Amino acid sequence: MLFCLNSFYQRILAPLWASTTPPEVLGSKIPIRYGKTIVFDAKRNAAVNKMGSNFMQLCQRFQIQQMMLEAQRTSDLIWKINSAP
Amino acid sequence: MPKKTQSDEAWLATVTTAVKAFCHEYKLIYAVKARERAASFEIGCLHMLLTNYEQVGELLPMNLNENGEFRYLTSPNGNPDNFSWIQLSVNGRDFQVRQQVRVQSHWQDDIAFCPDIVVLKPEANVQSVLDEDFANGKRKFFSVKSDQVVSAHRVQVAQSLSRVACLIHWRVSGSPPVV
Repeated sequence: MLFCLNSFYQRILAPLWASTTPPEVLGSKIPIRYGKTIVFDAKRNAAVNKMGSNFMQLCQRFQIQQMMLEAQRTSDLIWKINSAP
Repeated sequence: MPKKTQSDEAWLATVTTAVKAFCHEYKLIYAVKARERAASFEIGCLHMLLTNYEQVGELLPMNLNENGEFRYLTSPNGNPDNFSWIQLSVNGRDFQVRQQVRVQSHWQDDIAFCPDIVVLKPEANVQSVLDEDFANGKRKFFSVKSDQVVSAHRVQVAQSLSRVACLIHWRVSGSPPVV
C-alpha cells in the first residue's frame, strides 16, 4: 500500500500539483492555455489543491509520513522505512 | 505505518477503503492524459522560475490571446510571434522569458538545441528562415543566436519514478537576473 501511494504521489499528484502555486502574474488571474484543450486557471488550481490536501490528510491519518511519499526510488523508500523513528 | 493497536490486516483494510473513497471522489481530476500531466509539470517549473524572478524584477505577460489567456508555446515548430511570453524588467532592462525557442550554436550555425525555457536579452530577436535541410523547406525554422541568450532551463524528471519538479538551469551568457 505504501509503495502504491508513493507511486501515485510521484507520478500523478505531484506533477498536477506543481502548477497550482503560480506567481502573482500568471496562471491564476491570467489563465494559461496549453494547446487547444488544456487550460490552467484558478478553478483547476482550486480543484487540484483540494485533491492534494485531502490526499495528504489521508496519508497523515494512516501515519504515512510525507518523506515516505517524497522518496523517488524504491531503494530510497526502503531506507526511509527502516530508518523511520 | 500501522498503529501498534491495530493488526496489519485491519490497517490495510481501513486504508484500502479510504483510498477507494478518495479515488471515487477525485478520479475526474487526476485521471488526465500523460500530456496534461507533463504540461502541468512543465508549467510548475515555469512558475518556480517566475516566482524567483518576481523577487528581482517585474513580470508582464505579453501577447495574450483574444480571451486574455497566456498562450503557451508547446513545440519549437510553433511561430513564437503567435504565442505569449513574459517580459521581465530588471533595472530598466526588459528581458524575455520564452518557452521552446531553439538556440543556435555559437560554433556551428547548423546546430541548434531547444531548452524548455530561455531568458533572452532585451534586444533578442527570434529569427525565422526557410531551409531546404529542415522539413524540406516547407516549414520555417525558428531560433535565436546563442549570444542573445541569458540563461537556458531544462525541465527534467529527476529519476525514473519521479515527476517532482526539478529545474536544471544553465547560465549561458551576459549578466542575468539573479535566480
